[in-house]
Amino acid sequence: MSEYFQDYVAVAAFAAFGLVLVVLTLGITYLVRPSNPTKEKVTTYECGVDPVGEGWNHTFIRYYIFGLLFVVFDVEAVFLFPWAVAAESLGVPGMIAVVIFILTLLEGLLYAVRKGVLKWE
Amino acid sequence: MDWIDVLLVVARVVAVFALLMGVCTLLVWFERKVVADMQNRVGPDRAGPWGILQTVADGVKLFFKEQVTPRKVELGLYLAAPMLAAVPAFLMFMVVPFGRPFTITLGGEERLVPLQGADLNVGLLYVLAMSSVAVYAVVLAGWSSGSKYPLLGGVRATAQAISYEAAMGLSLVPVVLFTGSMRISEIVAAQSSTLTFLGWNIGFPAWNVVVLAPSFLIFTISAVAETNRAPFDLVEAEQEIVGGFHTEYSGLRFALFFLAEYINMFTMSALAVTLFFGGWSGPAWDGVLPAAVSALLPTVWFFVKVLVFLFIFVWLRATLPRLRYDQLMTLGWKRLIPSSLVWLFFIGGALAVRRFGLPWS
Amino acid sequence: MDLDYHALAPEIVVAATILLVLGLDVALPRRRKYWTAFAGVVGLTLAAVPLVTLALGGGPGARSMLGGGYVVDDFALVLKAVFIAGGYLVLLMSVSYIESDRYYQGEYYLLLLTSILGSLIMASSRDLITVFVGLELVTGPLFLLAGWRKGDARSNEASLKFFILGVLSTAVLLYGMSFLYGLTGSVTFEGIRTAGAGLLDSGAFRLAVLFTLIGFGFKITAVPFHFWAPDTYEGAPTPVTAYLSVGSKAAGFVGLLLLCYRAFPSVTEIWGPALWVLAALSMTLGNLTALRQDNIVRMLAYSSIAQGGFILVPFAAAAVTNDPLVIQEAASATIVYVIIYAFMNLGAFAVVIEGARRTGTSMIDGWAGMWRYAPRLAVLGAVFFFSLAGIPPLAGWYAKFAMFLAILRPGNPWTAALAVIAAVNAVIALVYYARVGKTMWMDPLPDGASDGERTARPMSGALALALGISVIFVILAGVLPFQLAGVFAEAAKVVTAGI
Repeated sequence: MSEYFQDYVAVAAFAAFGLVLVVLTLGITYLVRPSNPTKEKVTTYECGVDPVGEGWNHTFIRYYIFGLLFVVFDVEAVFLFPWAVAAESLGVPGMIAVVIFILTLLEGLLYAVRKGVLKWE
Repeated sequence: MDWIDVLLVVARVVAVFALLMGVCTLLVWFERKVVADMQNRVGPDRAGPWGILQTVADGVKLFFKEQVTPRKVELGLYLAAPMLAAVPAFLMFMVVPFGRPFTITLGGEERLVPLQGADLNVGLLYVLAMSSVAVYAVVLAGWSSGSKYPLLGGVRATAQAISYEAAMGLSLVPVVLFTGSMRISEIVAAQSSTLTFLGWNIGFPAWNVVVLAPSFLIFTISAVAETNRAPFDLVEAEQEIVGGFHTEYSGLRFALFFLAEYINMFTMSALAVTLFFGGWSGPAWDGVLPAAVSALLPTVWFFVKVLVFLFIFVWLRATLPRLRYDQLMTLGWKRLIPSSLVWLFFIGGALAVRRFGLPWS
Repeated sequence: MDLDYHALAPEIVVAATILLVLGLDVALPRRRKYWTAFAGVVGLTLAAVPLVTLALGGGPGARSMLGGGYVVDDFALVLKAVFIAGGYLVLLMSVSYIESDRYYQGEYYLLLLTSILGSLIMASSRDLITVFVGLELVTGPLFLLAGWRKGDARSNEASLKFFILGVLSTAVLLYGMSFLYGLTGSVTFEGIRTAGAGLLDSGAFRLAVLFTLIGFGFKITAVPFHFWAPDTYEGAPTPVTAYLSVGSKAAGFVGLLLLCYRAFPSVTEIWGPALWVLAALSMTLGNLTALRQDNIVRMLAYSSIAQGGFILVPFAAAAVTNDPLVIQEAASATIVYVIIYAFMNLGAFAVVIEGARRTGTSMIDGWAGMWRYAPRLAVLGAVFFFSLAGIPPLAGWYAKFAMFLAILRPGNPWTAALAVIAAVNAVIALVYYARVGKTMWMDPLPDGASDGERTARPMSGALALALGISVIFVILAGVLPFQLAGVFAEAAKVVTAGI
């Protein structure tokens, strides 16, 4: 097995260890904790009064729009990382390409600002 | 790779885990104590000397508490969410080196033991990926509770986390550009020399923060927002939405969210130190001091630096009022992201001029 | 990685124009937004300049980039010229139409230009990845454009139908492509051709070819994958419909040409019959349904489905023969048809836009007696509709002539049968195209309409230019068809090279 995979084996071991630990602790508490669900106890919390309507309400559309914007900018960051690693070998052409890339994105962000997409109202 | 290597990996895993648990326990106490001091209170002082065992006592209490499962929850996701919060928090710290690698002789071979969970070649991307996964826990917890406050807390958390994650990702690009590697150990190594200014060695460590101060600033703000700490704690703003996403959680399930929050805080501080303040690098006085002390000193430096950051985290919480949601979004999208792009632009240009010369020469 | 910037110049100019339009849209106040349209028109005009320099001074060799995945050869140049010209006409048609709506002007041109950029990429793509990127760049903006009239429920329906079926077809296409790559281990067309020759008996390979064809079937609105087309065409803003029926359809045909002639020449016994059936169904169903339409946009929608069937006919001829000359002739017939169809259909849509503006309706009956108040428009309408029907000396006749020549050349009973079907359909098509002409020229004015109010509004300059360009092309190509065909034969040679 190569050095490369050795590292990821460690990651997998770590994840497995963490998961086992969490599940194990939760399992042990299952044995030792009390469990006495009364009718009032298992109602949904709403500041002490009986809950009104469903818990799953409509939420503000802006959250969704920000989600869309996030996809754009996070993917952009992921594109920039490989360039940053190889910036030396890509040289001036790579630099110019990234400059155009960033300017394009800045223009997009400016567009979003101008259209009032980022206003939280 | 023989069995000793396997054993070493296991040992590293266990060591990192123990470290995280221990640090987390102390961190909760530390925060309560510092906040108490700032507010002219005593804070916890009963359990153990200076109340240092208070967190342990709380943990034991939560361990034996009833875990109420409300009737309206989506059971599968509801139970999975706390685990999804805790495990990525553990995983994120894996790639942060907290000491100088040392060699030991086992089984007739010299073996290098890095004080780090794993030294991935895409370490920085891995950190970003894990911090994205952590968002799922909050969203799923909020949604699966089937209750209004958690739902609001959940969507708030998502929008906040993703907004600042974009800024954080962009703020780290200059670091990679500067080092030429995403491997965390190489980023540390690149900062272990001293700075040269106009041909003079001025003796100051070559920390990234010196050149990349704006990146550091953006990173720190985003890190505070990513961990949902004050003044960015709209996710669990008690006055508005009760407990936010974990309103319907109790007992150990709640404790796991709590644990994850403090681990994330520690990891973010550790990352800030590693990426901008040279990580564990610092004077070890090899040959002057006994070898064991020299090997241990970098770890000490690391924790001293991290402690400063943790103090800042707590300080912020004790000082600043909470932001309004629109302010939060404006700061993220209209300040941090554009300025990190412009800064990247600038630093890229400067590096290109230094490396390739001016375009007309 | 070496990029040939001269060869890429058209794409670069269009991309720069897109960014400029976006910048202008951000910077300009609302009442100055017409500058975005101006920038778009100028940008597309400039993009045509490198095409000319490439065609004149480029030398005989094809310019190949990205490991053979992106090639600028005669075929690419001819089709890029068509796409740019078509896009240019659509832009001109849109100017007054979009301005009268008073909103989202900047975005409109931005998205339209993006779609045109996608079709430019399509023309040069020589591997699955670039084909896919190009195709998505063509269709993605169109989902939005189809729903441009936000307040109109029909437009929303158009957009949604187009989107859902478009995504479905993309999924099918990608599924086929992933199979192709998995089986042949190559994404380039050359690689698939070489490896595909050894996979003739593989059921999975046949399935992959079929899936890919179905994916493109949606894009070219061939029956039975046409369901989205009539509703989308009717609901979308008319200039967008014009672009949908020409630009995106031509892009689909380009993909089909490349795949069939370059990637799958070894499996003609799969795509030959499949396209035979698609062609026959599209022609027959498209024409029969078009006969019954009262709305002129809907009629043109079905007519464009039928025309798509005519364009598919030569594929069936190429599939049954091994004679490279016949295959080349078939490819050439398809290219000629696509190009002539683009101009005459765009012209017809320009007439529809202007006619609907004058009369306030897109019902055919509402256009009765148009020659009395808009004689020039009525003449132009007659020209484009009779050209679509294939009446000499208008360009349409040569398109159909080349198509029949190609299908009759192999002398195979199946292709002969298809030729008969095509001939019958050409007659049916004449009926409904002629009906529009008859309504405009012979029927009395509808009740309550006076000559005065309909003449009052003059035509916009941009639309007049669009009409002028297309009518000149349609007449020139109809009068001097063989000179035109000589140019396209070069393109066809490139496509069919190596079969």
